[in-house]
Amino acid sequence: MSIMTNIADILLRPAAFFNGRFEGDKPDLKMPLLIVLLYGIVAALSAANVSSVTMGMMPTEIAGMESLMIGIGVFSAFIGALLFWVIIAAIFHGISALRGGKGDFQRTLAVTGYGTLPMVFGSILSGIIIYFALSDVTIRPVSDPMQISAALTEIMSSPSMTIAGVVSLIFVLWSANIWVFGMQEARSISGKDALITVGIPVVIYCLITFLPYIG
Amino acid sequence: MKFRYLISVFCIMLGLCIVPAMAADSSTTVEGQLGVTDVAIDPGVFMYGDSGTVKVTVTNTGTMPVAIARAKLYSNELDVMGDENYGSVGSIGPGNSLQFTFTIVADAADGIYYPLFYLDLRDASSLRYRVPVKVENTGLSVSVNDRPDAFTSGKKEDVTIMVGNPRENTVNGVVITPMLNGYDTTETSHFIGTLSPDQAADATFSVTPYSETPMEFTVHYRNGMNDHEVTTAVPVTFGTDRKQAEIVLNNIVVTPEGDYYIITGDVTNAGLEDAKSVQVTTGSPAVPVDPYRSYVVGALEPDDFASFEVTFSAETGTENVLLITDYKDKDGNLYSSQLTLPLSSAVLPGKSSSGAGDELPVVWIVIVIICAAAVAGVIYYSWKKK
Repeated sequence: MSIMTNIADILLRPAAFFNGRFEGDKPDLKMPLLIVLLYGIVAALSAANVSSVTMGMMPTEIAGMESLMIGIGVFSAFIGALLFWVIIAAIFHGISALRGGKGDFQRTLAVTGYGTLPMVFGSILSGIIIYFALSDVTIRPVSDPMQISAALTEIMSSPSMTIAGVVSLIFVLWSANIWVFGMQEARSISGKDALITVGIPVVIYCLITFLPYIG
Repeated sequence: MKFRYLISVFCIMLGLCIVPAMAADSSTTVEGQLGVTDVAIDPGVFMYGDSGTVKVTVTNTGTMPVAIARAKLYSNELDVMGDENYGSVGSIGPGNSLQFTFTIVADAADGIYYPLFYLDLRDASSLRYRVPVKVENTGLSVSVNDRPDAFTSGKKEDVTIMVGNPRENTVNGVVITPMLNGYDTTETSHFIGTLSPDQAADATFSVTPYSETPMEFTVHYRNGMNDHEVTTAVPVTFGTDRKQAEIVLNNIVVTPEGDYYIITGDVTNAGLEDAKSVQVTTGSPAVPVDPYRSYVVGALEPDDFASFEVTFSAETGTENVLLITDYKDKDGNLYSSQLTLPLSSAVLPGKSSSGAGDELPVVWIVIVIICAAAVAGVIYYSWKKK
């Protein structure tokens, strides 16, 4: 089975892709890790773009630290993607356990990793939107931290940034769909339990993501 | 015998002729050998009320001493004092001179008077001489030679006072004293000294007026030993000096720059005098901030201009700020002008900074719709294929 077929199955036929995949003791985590790393790289690039914009607002006194600050942003985004993978898997594992799920954590980790694939596309698309949105911004140095915060809030609440968030959430929903099918197989739970297992964290995630835009 | 008689008669008659002739010759000689050789009057020309001296010098040009009983100076118009000193003079030897000094007070109107010098001789003869004394009450002429077109309260200006002597005699001890009535001067007085007839001298005072009271200057001088003064006033009217520097600001652009604003523009001296130490800054409610709290342009010659740049911060909602221009004149007097600038007129690139998109691009909406549809289709497809 070629990689492209696997990818197509993950995205379009997750039920078929996960069917019988976790019959062995130890699932192969190379592919999920690769997907998560790819997601981390895309997130890091997007973070680099946003960080450079943010640094433009900083006072001239710390302008020389731009490279360092961007590096911290990129590193944080990359590590954040890996942590997101582990944390979301742990949440899924915990909730599914409450719903009678069985099977070790590596299976959940594999499902979560495979399911991150649509988020890679979502990050690329939202990153492009953010890039074009920020390219129109004229950045001015701001010395007052309150004004920096206000300026960032202004930028982040702009329609283009909202669009980027919406696009990202749409692809999270696509990932959630994959996670539902994967958790059924990985934890031997019903479709309903899998929907609850995945639905609760995803809804919370959506609310957390969209509350700033709403509020 | 008869001839001898005739000779005797002739001798007697001759003697009778000679004795009176000798007697007559004796009185003529005494008067004739005395003469007034010099008259000195100080001051040369009296003013009304002046005291002065008349010195008459009498010289004996004969070969015999002449006895003098007394000397007097008579005048109906002038008061003469001091002639009691010459009640008993004594005699004046041959070739000698005597000086008689009288004090007179010119309590008379302008004119020329002729007091009579009278010398009473012991031999019942006398010497008379009229001394011409001039009285003229014309004082020194004081005029303002130079002054500014208009004064400004507290601004130092130059005023030139000219003193002329239209009198026939020299006056001395001429001093110009500012009266400081509503103004200050750098100089406490100006000493001119002696002024010969038809001469003039001027003095420049640096005056600083504080009220529109005419500035008075008094000229003190002495005519002989008599003090006199004359006062002149320089009218003071506050107004705008037509020659003073005039600062004009134009080409002003207010630009937000981060958390502060930048004002750039040109400052021009449209006046006729130099503007020194030109500074541009901002006033309340604006708060000057670095890097250009105030911009020192320096000196601006007439018709010269320079660019400036000042930075300030302002509270949110501030509508107007003051742009303040200070400059000094050559004497260090400070001038200030203010210009109100509306912040609403400021160029606002900051608005473009939220160009992260104030408008929702249609293309993004289309992308969202496509993504949502695609994902919905995929989810539907995945559940259908389950």
